[in-house]
Amino acid sequence: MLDGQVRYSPMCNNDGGVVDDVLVYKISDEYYMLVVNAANREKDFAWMKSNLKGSADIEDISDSIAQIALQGPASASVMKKLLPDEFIPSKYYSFKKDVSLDGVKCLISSTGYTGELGYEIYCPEADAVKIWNLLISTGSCCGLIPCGLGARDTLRMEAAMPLYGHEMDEKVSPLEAGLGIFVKTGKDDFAGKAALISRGDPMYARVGLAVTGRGIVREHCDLYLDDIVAGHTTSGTFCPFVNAPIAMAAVKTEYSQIGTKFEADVRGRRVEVEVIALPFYKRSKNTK
Amino acid sequence: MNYPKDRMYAKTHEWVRFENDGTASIGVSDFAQHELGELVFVNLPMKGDILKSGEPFAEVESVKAVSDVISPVTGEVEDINEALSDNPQMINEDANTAWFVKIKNISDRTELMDAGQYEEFAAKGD
Repeated sequence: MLDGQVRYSPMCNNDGGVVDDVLVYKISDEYYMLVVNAANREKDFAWMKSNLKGSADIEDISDSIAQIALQGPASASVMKKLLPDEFIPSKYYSFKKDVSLDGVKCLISSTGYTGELGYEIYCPEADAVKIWNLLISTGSCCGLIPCGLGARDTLRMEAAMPLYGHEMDEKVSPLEAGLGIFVKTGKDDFAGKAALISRGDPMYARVGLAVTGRGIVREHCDLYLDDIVAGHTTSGTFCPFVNAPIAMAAVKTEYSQIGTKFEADVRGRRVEVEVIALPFYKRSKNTK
Repeated sequence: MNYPKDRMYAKTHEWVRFENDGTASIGVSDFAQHELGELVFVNLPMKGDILKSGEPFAEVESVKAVSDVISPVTGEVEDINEALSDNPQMINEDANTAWFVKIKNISDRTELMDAGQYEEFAAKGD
């Protein structure tokens, strides 16, 4: 990795399942910042601490940092109102550190959990409200609105981004979650590498589903192909931009082709769904 | 919040309006639609289905969650409001006119409140 680069990775356990998915920010050869799912904070810390080698050490600095995500096609315009170009990360999955936003020292990365252009702004936790207010007032030019986890979930669903605890967990391998490119076994050893190799070709694949019947198909619905349980949904909801119910599912690889129809068991009722290509939403080429 | 006086209300936030001909229509209260948020899906029973008082007979879904709608009476479904199936947002627009089903041959009912009692009940917070 290069200094200033961000990398997404599933972190594997020794069985080839996923402990958590993380973002790794390379500050320098000696210093990396890892951003993990808040729900897995203690688990991840304990796992990483028990796997430290040599003189490496790790510190949990979660309580001292806040992160605000600024996402959407107009997010670049908002950033340009706040900062000169040299302080705005331009390449996707890169970051700038020690950026002063209204006197607050921030780290800003061009990353995000939506299918659109966006930034994640890290600042000292004591300054979070100040940065929030700055973004809201600056963003009023461009239609910026605050949103919470419900919106975050539909945005990441439409972009077909996996959510830990849904598309992957301690038992599901990155390959089954469609994240195989992040765990290439041709490189140096990493936790879980041997297990991934011995697991062989994945028996399950992650697919996208369009709901062709009537209803909303959420997670944990069994998918039937005639009498066979071909898989189960891992996430699903009514998504506002595509204006339809959509879902992601883990299905046996032999049934994962686009066009395959299943019946989802939704609380005892069968609803027809069909495998479609991912992602559900792709940002247009006109937004950088 | 609007709770018309021409009907009764259940603790589970449904309204039931008893007609002079012995039938009743059922919907969810203004409080319910407000709590549920923007509804995107409604699943109604079929004509001829038998509903039992105190048991779920329909489902409403917002983006975030599914909720059961509980029948305040025991009886037979005489008619269903198909328009609601196509436009669940009618419930948010006017919960008091968005009827789900019309019931006949009513033989039982759950504990019900009048509009004034329900208003107090709903205001207390569930």
